[in-house]
Amino acid sequence: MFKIAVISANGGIGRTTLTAHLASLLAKRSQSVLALDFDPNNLLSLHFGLPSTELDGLALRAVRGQLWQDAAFSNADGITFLPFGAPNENERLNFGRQISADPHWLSDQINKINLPAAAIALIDTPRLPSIYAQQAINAADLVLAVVAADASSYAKLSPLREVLKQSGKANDTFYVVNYADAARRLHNDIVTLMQHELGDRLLPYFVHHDEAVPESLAANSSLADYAPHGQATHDLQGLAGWLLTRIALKT
Amino acid sequence: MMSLPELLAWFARHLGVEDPRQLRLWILRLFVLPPTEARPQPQWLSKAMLRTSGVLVRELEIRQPQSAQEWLLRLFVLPSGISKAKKEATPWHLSRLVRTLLGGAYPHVRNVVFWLAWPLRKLYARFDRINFISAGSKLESVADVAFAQPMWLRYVMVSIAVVLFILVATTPLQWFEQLMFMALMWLMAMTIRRMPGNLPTLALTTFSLIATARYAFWRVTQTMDLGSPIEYFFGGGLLMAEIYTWIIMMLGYLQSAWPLQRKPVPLPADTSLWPTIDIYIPTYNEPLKVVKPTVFAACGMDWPKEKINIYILDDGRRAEFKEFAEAANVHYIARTENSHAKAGNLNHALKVTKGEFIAIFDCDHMPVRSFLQMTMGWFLRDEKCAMLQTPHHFFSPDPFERNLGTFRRVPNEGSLFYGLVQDGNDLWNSTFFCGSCAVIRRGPLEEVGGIATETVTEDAHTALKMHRRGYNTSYINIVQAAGLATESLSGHIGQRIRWARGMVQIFRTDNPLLGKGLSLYQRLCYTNAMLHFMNGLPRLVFLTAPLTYLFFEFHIINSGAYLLTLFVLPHIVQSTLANSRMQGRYRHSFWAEVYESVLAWYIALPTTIALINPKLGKFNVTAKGGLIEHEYFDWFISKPYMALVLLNFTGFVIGIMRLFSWNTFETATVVMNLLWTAHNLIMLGTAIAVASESRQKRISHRVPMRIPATLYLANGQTLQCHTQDYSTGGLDLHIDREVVLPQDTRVKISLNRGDREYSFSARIANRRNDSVGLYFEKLSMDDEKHLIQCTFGRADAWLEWNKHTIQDRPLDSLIEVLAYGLRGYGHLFRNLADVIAARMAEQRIAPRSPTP
Repeated sequence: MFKIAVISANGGIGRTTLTAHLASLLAKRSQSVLALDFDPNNLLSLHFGLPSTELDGLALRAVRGQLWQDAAFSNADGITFLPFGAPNENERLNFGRQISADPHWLSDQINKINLPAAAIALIDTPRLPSIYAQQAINAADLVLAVVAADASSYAKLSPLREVLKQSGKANDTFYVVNYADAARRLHNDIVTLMQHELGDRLLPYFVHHDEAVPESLAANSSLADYAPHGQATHDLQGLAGWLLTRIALKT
Repeated sequence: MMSLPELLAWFARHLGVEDPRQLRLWILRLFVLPPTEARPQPQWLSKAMLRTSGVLVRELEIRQPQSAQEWLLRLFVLPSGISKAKKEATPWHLSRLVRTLLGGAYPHVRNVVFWLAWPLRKLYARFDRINFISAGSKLESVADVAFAQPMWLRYVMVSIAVVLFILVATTPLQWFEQLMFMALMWLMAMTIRRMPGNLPTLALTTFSLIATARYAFWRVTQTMDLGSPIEYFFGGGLLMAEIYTWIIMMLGYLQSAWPLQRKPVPLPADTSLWPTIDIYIPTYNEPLKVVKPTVFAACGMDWPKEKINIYILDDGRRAEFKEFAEAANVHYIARTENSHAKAGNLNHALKVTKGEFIAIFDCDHMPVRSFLQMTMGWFLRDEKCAMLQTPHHFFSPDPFERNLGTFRRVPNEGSLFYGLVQDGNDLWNSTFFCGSCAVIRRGPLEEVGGIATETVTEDAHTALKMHRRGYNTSYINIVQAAGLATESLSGHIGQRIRWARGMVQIFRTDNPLLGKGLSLYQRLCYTNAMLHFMNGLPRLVFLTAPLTYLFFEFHIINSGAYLLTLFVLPHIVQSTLANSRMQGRYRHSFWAEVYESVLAWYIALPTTIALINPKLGKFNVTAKGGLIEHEYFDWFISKPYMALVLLNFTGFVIGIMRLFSWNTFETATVVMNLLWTAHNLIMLGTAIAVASESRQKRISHRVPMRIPATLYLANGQTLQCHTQDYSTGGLDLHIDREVVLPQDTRVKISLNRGDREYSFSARIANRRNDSVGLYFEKLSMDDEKHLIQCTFGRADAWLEWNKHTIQDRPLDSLIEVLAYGLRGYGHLFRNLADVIAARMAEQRIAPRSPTP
């Protein structure tokens, strides 16, 4: 299985949404996809039509010492979704301690999943710094770092790169700009700076700010169906295509 | 003395033409008197007239019976003649028309034609079985063997070829033998032209040279035994004109025998090795809105920032230009006087700036970002390279294209020069500087004393001076800049007059055939470039020569018409085939005559004066960026053509009369002169069609181009789309989906430049099916700059500009020119009729009621 960790150093820049839409676009291309929410906030489950409270899932079962294999759901698109689960406060702290002691816990767990070798796992994470995101980074074959073309994303770019370097994943990390909006004055300046620092690591697929993205969530429809000619759809298709090529080259 | 409209108004009044705008009435009144109150027109006559015209309208497929132009056109050309789609239907229409004309005799005639054409059909069926591609490559391999021989053997081969050529050219043949010779050569040429490659092209030019040499030898030795001194005068003049065309033809073949098609040389990876460049944008009286886009495009060129300096050279010393230069962060140079116009302006800047290279752009030629990347490599590879020229490309139609409607379909006047001639020149190291879209090395330029100021074509003269010093020049036939074509016909003609005058000035003051430093081929190429502009006088000779016979029965060629045809036809056919093959992509057959006929009158005098006294003449700036608001007919420009039309038309009528009613001897000669006059009338008709200025719809010209774009809607949705065309004022988008976009909605549209995206405020102008028109609003200076760089300045902006040009097919081209010629007479008739109607109204002649 090819594992992709979707991380970011900032909150609210569409990391979870991006994960969900990527999963759905990859599934539409007949890929076997596992979407794994490794974020205690359980936001990804919203995209799969599940409640974020009283949710069964990986962390919940793991901390209770139960088998977690049957906590996964399958949706109409054929995506296997494994939620984080909603453990109580104590359980969550325990879980945190458990995985802190074993930096490769997540990696080991994913390897136990019986999915085809060609399957793609997309792991959503909380924003850095976070032990959960760190686990995902350690497990990942490819790290997709989501940034926005704004000042705070740029300010946190160096710490982010440092984390990835220390995890030994700098060469497997690619950056994708989300919420791109050329009409904003700072957009091009920040992009120029980022291009200067990241070079080829900054993917040319800028995912544009497009209201069709949240609207499709509200309409409970996949983005490709809801806005087939939307710019964000187009950009995400480009990103999905690039990912598939990259995976094909790496495996 | 009556003016022409008055004269015609007089005719109209006396013939009883109630409405001079209807050609139908003119024709009717030639035969039938107008009805009077005492004797009304008999019923049967008006019925018969109606029926006849009804049959004609149906058979000739006339869609608008009111249009004189269409009547004229349909009398000669079938409706399916031009459009490709209907082409297959032609024989059917033709047979129907012929059937109508011949009546009962039709089946017999058809059978005879069918059997006569049998051998030709057999032959063509054979043609399809030949593999011309492998035949072409076999020919190439034979040539390779020949080229691989030692030098002495090659000289022997060439000498033998020359002897054979002279033998073939000078052997006298009887008419039947000459006919066979002509047919054989034609068949061979028709076979060879199907083979791909450059070698068959050379074979075709050789054929053409043989045919012309035979004609020339025969013409000079056999036909100049004329009767009276006056006949010697006219006959001599015609021969001189012909000799001129033979020389131009030969030099032209030499010049474009093997276009070099030079490829760009990559620059070294280390940018510290790249030289410093000054960009000069000279301007004199052009408005700022014309110059702005050029400056913005120049700012977008890819080159290290510290090694490039952009200068606006303002000879108008205008404050707004200075302010603009400061705002745009480019340099501004003005001088205190205006001596030597553009050349002086450039020379002044040359003293002030320091760059190792100078790139010059006319103030309306927007370069693309890759301009320097594509051109500078050659300077680094070739130390002696002093100048590199790129094509001048125009994205708006020139007067010919606009008034005839041939834009992007028929190659324009400049196409041949920049597509083929300069590229051919490059083989002989004689590409010359054309004033814009070029890079010059500072050293050699200073060595020849800067841009030449002695003549009004300073560009070509400067290149000649550098060639004389042993420097090289290069040409890269990739469009790297584009501008606006001259607006009006008068402006276009003014520009050509300047070029013609300047080239002749150089020919007189610094003759390329004389003086030091040039190779033989450079001398010949420059000579051709200069002689070429002297075509005015010979063209006028050809446009009037048959009249000497038709008017005065002077015999200016001492030969029977049949024999003359047998000699002149191979010359015309073979040169048409060779030129169509060589220039087909850049000039269609018979269009050279069109272009020359329009200019002939205007450049004849200036070139002759410049030949006598090269000191006369001044620089005229070409006006651009204007707008022709109303359709109008340029009476002033077309005056000389009117006179020529009147002369040729009178000659034509005399010729027709000589066929049937009066002096009916020398029928063949009369027919030949009639055909010649008809050809002249067609060319003059086209010239008149060009002089009818059609209205121009847009101020900013649209360039068709598919670029990905992002449309930001006010509701936050963002659509992925692409452009269909763009201009500085707006663009057309293609949007697949049925998006509701009411007119005047505010949107943002963004375009990419490399991996950078720029957005522009715009409003919806219109919506048709999948296409949405936008116009920009409230663009800041930065926005304008980015807009130019995202559109006109794109590296791929002009890559596919000639995608829609149709490959030349000589016969189609002939029919097309014919159609345009007739259209010219249609225009002329309409405009003349309007004038007459106005004149008649002025004279308060109460119009009689028109016939029902």
